[in-house]
Amino acid sequence: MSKFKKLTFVPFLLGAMLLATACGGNTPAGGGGTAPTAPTPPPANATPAPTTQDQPVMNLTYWVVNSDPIRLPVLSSHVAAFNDSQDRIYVEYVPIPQDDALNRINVALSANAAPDATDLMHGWVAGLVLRDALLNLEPHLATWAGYNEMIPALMDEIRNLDAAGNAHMLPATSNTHTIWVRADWLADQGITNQQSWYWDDFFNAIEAMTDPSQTRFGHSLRGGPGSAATIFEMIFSNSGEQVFVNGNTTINNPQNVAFLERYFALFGTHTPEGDLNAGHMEITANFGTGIAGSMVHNLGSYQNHVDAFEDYDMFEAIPMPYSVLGTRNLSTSVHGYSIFSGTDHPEASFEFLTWMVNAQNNSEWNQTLGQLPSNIRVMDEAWLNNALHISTMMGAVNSPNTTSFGHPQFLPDFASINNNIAAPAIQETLMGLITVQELLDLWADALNESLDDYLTNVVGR
Amino acid sequence: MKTKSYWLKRIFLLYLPLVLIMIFILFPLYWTVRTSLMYEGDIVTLPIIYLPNPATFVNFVTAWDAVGFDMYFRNSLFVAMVSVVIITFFSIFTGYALSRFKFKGKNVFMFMMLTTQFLPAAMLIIPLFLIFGNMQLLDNHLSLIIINTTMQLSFNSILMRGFVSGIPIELEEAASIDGCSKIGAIFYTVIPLLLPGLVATAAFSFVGVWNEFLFAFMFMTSRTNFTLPIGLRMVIGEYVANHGLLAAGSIIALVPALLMFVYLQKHLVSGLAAGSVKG
Repeated sequence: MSKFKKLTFVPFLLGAMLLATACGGNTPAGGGGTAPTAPTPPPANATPAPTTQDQPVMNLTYWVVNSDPIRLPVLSSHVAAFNDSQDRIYVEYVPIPQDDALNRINVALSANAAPDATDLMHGWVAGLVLRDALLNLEPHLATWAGYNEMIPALMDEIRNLDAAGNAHMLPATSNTHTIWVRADWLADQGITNQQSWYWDDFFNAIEAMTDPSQTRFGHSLRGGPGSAATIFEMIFSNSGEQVFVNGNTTINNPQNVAFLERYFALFGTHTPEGDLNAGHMEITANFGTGIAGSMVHNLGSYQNHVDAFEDYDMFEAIPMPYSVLGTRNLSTSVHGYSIFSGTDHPEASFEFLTWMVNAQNNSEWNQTLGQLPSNIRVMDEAWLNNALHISTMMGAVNSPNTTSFGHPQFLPDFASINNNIAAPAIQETLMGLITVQELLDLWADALNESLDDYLTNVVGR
Repeated sequence: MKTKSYWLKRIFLLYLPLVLIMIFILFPLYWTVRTSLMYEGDIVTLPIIYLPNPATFVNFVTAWDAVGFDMYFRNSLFVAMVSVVIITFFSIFTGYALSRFKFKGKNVFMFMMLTTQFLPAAMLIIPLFLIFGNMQLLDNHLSLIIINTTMQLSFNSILMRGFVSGIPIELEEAASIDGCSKIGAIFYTVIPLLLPGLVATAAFSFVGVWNEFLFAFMFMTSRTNFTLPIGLRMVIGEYVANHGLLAAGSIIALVPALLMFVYLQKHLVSGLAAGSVKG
């Protein structure tokens, strides 16, 4: 056989694959994104249902940032139900990988090709508002009958993201930092008061759970990606203070320095040394595999723990401990739905958003996420009380003894400060290259400068 | 008879390093295959399970049928195959021109082709987005074929130039004496002898296009047109990564490239060796 004849096999093989994939799949065109047990999403490119009236159908594009195989089927089923209920609006959803979603949005905005609506993470909103990329929802909220169903505290969080105090997002879910502990390990140590811990109790429990003979560490410390957000939360949870007082941050106060020195002293002794580079997946793996007895994350890792332990009695969610002032000083992150300001159909887009946050959809969405609902009508549903980790956090968030430390998500460069200034410095501190005081001074300088810029250039403009 | 010293040298200087390198290279592949064949609960557990027992194909079925990898696979295959054909076709003639002809600015042309390889793709995104938008080519695989061809053509033309230089020009001269036109001489004498070079070029360009993420992610705006690298990224959620599904998707993405390399490796090795020593 000549070389050429042999080589004809290659395009033949690839062509056969092409045919096989064309014929073999039994999902509808545009289908996909479904988990085995989840409802099948509708075809993304299906022809919109013909309108029963003479009005043309308005086509909206909705970018789904929560596009993983667990979440996408739920959101896409909500979109499908919306389309079924409509004869004048048709929503096409486009899943976007979350890690790259903000880049995708930025490119689309630069090219004036943004979609009509999207779901957004809390930390992205302030920057987009600053660029006038998102539609001010206040005029729509003023006439929306369902507004009173939104939890007021979450609407306040959203309004805090804009210097003018306008809402640019409807809340879909909220989350709060959570300490996950091995309930069985704590019980072995005779510790049962974890739901009412102060931070001293947290440190004592970590030391008690550490058992070098069994290669058990009391804690897994997030030293890698996302470390700054976690440590920021812990610092203010302990201090009970506001992030900014009289225009200056309190992050480098002496008591915060002492607190962080105590926490970092756990590294390597009561935590795995690999934690230097650990992100949330790594600390979750340490926790799930029995290497570590506790970790600080949020409600989002619940399903990981269920998969790892398959025994609900082995792990437990506890709120961030009481501060030195005796309060629970927390923050809440809100994820939700927004409309891009370039949309040609603001009314229709808002109608779609209200559908996504109605009680039924909000309930289903938060059951999927294992997070806190944003619709007041969902609060009485039985599943909330049955999901112990959610009811625990709901109790903590809504307690009269809980304060908010004023999370500066409104600073457009807050995430950048955390990722580019604080996070590398945290690793340097863990490695002993700089002191905790130097780390917090560096962090404080960046935050103060950012606030100055914000007050001058955003609030004052 | 081989001495003990000979065998010791053979083992410690040849076989042992080869085995270690082989383990180093193949371990991630083994780990991916192992993960793809396990239930999620078994993946992150201690003690570590090295061999799936029981093995399951549920991750492959889910990835293919439910997550939409069948669609992504089909799109990737289409974009890659068309791009490879175009890249290979044009690189033959560009490589031929660079090898056989002397013309003013040849070195500058070569230099400019090389410099295109240093441009970060991210820098081109917004201008290309606008251009393809004006051409109504967003969410169209043609935009990916155009940009992948453009990005891959320079390197592959330079690669092809080395292969063409290795073919004696006397063969073309002989064909011309026998009555062949210039194009005829290229088709009847140069291209058959270029086979290893064609294979190497096709393999390089296929892998480059197959794995391309950024342009596909930015230019495709409906899920029916997404390619495999985008599908793989979507398996990773905010706080949850389905390791089994991700591994199964990676294996699915690996199969065409693996099959191609298995089949073409003989030509590929000879092609790379031939190209490496020609100026």
